[in-house]
Amino acid sequence: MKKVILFLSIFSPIVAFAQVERTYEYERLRIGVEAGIEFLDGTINKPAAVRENHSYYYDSYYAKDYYYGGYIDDYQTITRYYFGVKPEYSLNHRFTIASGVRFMYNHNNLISDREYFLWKVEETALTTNYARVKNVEQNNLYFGVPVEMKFFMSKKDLRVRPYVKAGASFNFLLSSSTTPYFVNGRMEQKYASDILNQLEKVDFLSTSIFASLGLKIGRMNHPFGTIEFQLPLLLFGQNTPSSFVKSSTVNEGVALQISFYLPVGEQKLSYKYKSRR
Amino acid sequence: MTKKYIFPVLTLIILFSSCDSDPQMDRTIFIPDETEPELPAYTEWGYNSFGAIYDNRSYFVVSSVIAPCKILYKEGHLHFSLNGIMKGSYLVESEKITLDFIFPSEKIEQYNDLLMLNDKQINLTSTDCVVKIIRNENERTLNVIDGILHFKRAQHLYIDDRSNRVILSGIFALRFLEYEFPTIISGGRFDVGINNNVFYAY
Repeated sequence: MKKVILFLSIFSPIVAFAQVERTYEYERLRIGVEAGIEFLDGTINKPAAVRENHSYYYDSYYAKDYYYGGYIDDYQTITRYYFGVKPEYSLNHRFTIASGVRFMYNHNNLISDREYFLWKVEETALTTNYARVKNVEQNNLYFGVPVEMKFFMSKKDLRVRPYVKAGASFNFLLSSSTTPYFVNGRMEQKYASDILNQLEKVDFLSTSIFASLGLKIGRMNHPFGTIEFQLPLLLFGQNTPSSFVKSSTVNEGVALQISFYLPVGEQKLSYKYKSRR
Repeated sequence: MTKKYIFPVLTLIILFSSCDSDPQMDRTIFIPDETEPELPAYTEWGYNSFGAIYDNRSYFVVSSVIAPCKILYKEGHLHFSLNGIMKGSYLVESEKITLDFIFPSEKIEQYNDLLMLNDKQINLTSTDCVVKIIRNENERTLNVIDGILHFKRAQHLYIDDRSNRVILSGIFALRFLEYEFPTIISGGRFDVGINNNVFYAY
């Protein structure tokens, strides 16, 4: 009897932890929907016909004798929102590629830090006419094509799985509408077109290149989601993304993106793993 | 007795109702010159600024607390007066100074008539021109050797289609004898808005 007890006490834990080999498989293809927000840095693209003003931004520096010009903060942030559909395909357990379509929107508002701009709308040899302009609003809508590649740090499809991603987005301007608002409403009919003609046109193509760090949440053989932080976001184009904000050739920005994926298709990837019985 | 006041009162009402004041236009905007940042850049926007280099050392420039320009028409002469401070040396720090150009002019009754100064050059050495300088409340008539005052542009400014003021922009430079030694005011430029607040004729 003692020998039986001794045998069980030695081998029972080993039996309890004995593992079996299993196969995990998931679809190579999945349909994704994405939504994101981008914050882009730029400097104000000052319309040449706007008179400089004694800006609040300079009061504290030059309070005594020197009133430097300015009517708005030089540094501007543009916020762009987008959503889209993006199929993703797993090349292997670590690499995926994705492309799709997205619609991107941004709203810009050129607004003085005083009550209004004095905007030169007419000029002859002996006369000059300014209009008081409260602000100018611009709405831009883009059709975009993102191209992305992901690299998962672990081969195993963990429930929470980090990844890095590199990609580009080619955004084509679908529509751009700009509306000036005047202090005196009667000036609108007379001078709105003059102001619109003075503004620089928005680039037709706005290209961005980015790298990002993200987390996949959920198993890939079920619907799952991702959340990622894009930095840097490099933006190319002189008059992108607005008539009012001048971006440098390479414009740094940051972005946040969330996606939701639904596995589809017949092709599957699989790997074996060991599991407790 | 009351009839005596009707005409002046009506005139004042018409004068003040015919132009709008605008707080943005009344302020001084100092845009630094690219090569001489102590001076304002030459502009034609009515920034109420002016500046000049005094004797190659100091700067005669606009101040935020002094009305930069006043114009008076009196007895066939126009007084174009620039009021500012002297900067650039501890000896003359923030000293108030006025440069007064007096030259013959056609009759000017209201500020709109100042448009006649458009692209007008005044030779400051001509016998009917006088340049005065007021420093420390001491007025002196300058013995000008050579000099010019050029109103490069006079423009009637409208804001929202209503008359607001006349903008005078131009340059000036002069050389004169100070205590029998030559002194120079160079690189002078001005860009000032003139309305009824700073213009008077009689």
